[in-house]
Parts: sequence; C-alpha cells; structure tokens
Amino acid sequence: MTLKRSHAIGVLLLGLFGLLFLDLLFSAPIDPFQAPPPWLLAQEPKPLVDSVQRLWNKEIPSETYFDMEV
Amino acid sequence: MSSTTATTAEPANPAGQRRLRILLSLGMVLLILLLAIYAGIRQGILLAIGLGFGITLEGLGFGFAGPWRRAILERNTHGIQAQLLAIGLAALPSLLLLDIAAGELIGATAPVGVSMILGAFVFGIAMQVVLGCGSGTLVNAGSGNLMGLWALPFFIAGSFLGTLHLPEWHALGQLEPIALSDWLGTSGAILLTLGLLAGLAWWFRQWMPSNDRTLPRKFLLAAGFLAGLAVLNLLVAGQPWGVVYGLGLWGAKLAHWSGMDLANFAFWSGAGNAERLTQSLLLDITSVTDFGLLLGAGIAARWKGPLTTQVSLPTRLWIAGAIAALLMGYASRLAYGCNVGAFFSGISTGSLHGWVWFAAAFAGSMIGVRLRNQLIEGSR
Repeated sequence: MTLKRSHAIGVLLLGLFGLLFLDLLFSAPIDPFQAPPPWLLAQEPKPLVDSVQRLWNKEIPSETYFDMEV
Repeated sequence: MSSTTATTAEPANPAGQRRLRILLSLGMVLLILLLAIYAGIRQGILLAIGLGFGITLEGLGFGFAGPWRRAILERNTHGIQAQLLAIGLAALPSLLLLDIAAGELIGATAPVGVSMILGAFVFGIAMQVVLGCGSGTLVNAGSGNLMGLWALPFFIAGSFLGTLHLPEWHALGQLEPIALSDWLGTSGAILLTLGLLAGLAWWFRQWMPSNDRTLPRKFLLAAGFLAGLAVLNLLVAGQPWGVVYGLGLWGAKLAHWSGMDLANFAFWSGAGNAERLTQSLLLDITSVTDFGLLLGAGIAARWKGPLTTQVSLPTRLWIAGAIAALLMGYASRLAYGCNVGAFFSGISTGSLHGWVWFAAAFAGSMIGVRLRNQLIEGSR
C-alpha cells in the first residue's frame, strides 16, 4: 500500500480535531476573561519572570516538575 | 500493511507553492490568535513556541533518535554534537534564570532510581525500532510519516499506562532528586554542566574523520533555535520543555471519558493532575506545545515542497513499531521523561538524572539499532 503523506497529515488532523472536540464536550469550559486568583494578586511582586507571568494568570508552580509535567 | 520513506514527488508549482506558504503563515498566526483569545495570551505564546519546535526540528532535519543511530552505525556524530550544543546553549540562561527566579521557575529535576534507569534503557531500545524519540514521533507523525502516525496512538497509550503503575516501579528504589545547583551552587552547576557537555562533544568529535569535523550550518542553526525556544518555554510556562506528560494526559482523558475511574490511581489523584483531567487540554502547558510541535512539523514539511508518496515496510516492522511505541511511552514515564523532558531539559536545568538518562538510553539505543536491522533483514 502506498499512501500520500498529505493524506497521513489529514488523518492526524482528524485525530487531533476529534480529541479537541471531545475535550470541548467533556472538559470544564474555559473562561478567558477570568480574574487572576486572589492568592496570585496578594503575592509580593517579584522581578523579571513573575511580572510577565502575572499578566497571563499563570499558576506559579510549587510542586516539583515531575509531580506536574514531563 | 506497509509504508514509510519518501519516494515520488508531486509536480512542483512555484506560484501555487508561494500561495500555500502565505496560507500556512496566515493559518499559524490565526491559530495562535484564536488560542490566545480563547485560553489566554500565555497559551497562545506556548502554541507559538510549540510551532517553533516543530518547524525547527522538521525544517532543519534535527532529531535525536536518528543522530544516535548514525553515531552507533556510521560513527557520524554531527547530530549528537549539535544536540549537546543545543543543551549547552539552553543550560546557561536556564540555570541563571532558575537562580534569579527561584520559586517561580522550576527545573526538570527528578530522582535517579532503578525504574528510571530501566525506563531510559528500554526507551533507548524502543526509539530505535520506531525511529523516533519523544519529540521525533510527534515530528514524524506531524510531517506525514506513516510509521510516526502509526506509532503515535501507541505512544500515547504507553505513556498513560505508565502513569498507572508508577508507585510499584518507584518502590524498587530511588534516590532523592539531585539538582546540581543545590549541590554546587549556580556557578558550579553551570561550569560542571557546560564542562561535561563540552567534554562529551569533544569525545564524539573524535569519532569523525579529521576532514569531516565541522558541524553543518543547519545543525548550528537548529541548536540555536532549539535552545532559544527552550529558554522561552521555561520563561513562559514556568517549567522546562516537555513532551510525554501531554501525551499521557490525552490518554488519561480518553480513558476518563470512556468511564474509567482514575481516582484510584496515585498519579491521577494528585491535586495538579486531577485538576488537569477536568480542565481543557488547551489549558495544559505540555499539551499545547505538543499540538504546536505536531502542526509545526506538518507546516515545515509542506513548506519545503509537495509531499511525497511513501513506500512499503514489512508487516513485522509495523507490529514491532506498535509494540516499541507502547514500550517507549511506558518507559518514558518510568524514566521521568523522554529525550526532551529528561535528556534535553534535565541536563539543561541541572538535574543529575538527565545525565544518567542519557547514558542508559544510549546503551539501549546500541541494542535498538541492531534489533531494527534484524527485524528488517528477517523480513527479506
């Protein structure tokens, strides 16, 4: 069997869209305008990174990397 | 069933190709903007970073499994030297940033242990059978390589299954996580990391004939881009570049949606992970960069020109690929990461386990390349 790579990419995109569709159906909806959590606003301002991350409501990690993501 | 490797090209059409490139660029910008609006600016930037990873890896032909294979079989170490260069370029700013913003940023620090070493060793074998590592499988799948596409669901399943048995594996014994900067201070960690990387790169350089020791320009470019993107990822995400967690989460979500109760499993009942099971994938850092990697690789592949058809692979390689991808996913979970999360990010953020991972996975790869050759020869 030969199959064009463009068709393979099509299959992949279908899979990704399928996953995201299920995600949309079953996961909690995203509120892009949600306010930053109070604990984040109450923190002491920190230089460099925190000021950037604060803009995006980033959850500052307190666990180790591998408790969270690899 | 059979596939892979490019053969016949479709006829080129320069005007059409130009139009397509404009469309691809606009599509990327649109996707980033849509995600930024829907899930926040940070997620939009993370998608852009993921796209950058995919475009760099596919566009400049930079990988991990392939260069290891060439080093083992042909003593061609350009690719490994470029990997070490990329890690070194990322390590200096990353270790400094981790020092400056301690508590805000975290490194890829993980313990060395029995299951970690075993996992890295098995990962090394399996990635040579699949001919794609953690990032490589995504890049291959994204660029339309059928083996990559075939391997991806098994890789996802393996990385999910690995999370279910982690406590039993960890019970085999492991040390506390060791960050070189805790041991030696930031300056010491930087000096030791860069010194070891330089020494290793020099050693690999000696493998090459003396008239062929200059690194190709595309590898230098790729190393620079990868390092820059990895540092940006650390800054924006607050954690280093990773791949496997996102795939495991996709598998866990599919299992969860199918009715499987994951609350009984230690990994998924932990606060952060349990929350990620209920929230959208578009809010998960690793998932978003993984999506970007897949799409970026596809865009880079199409950018270069018309995509080609593929030729046959023996059926036993398909079966072996599926088993190897499953093992690769499972093993990467035990090993606290793949070539990205453990090797690249572990070493560049000063974790001892990154070095141990490299040694174990390279030893595994030495077996893996021979195993793959046997599988191919056995099919003839």
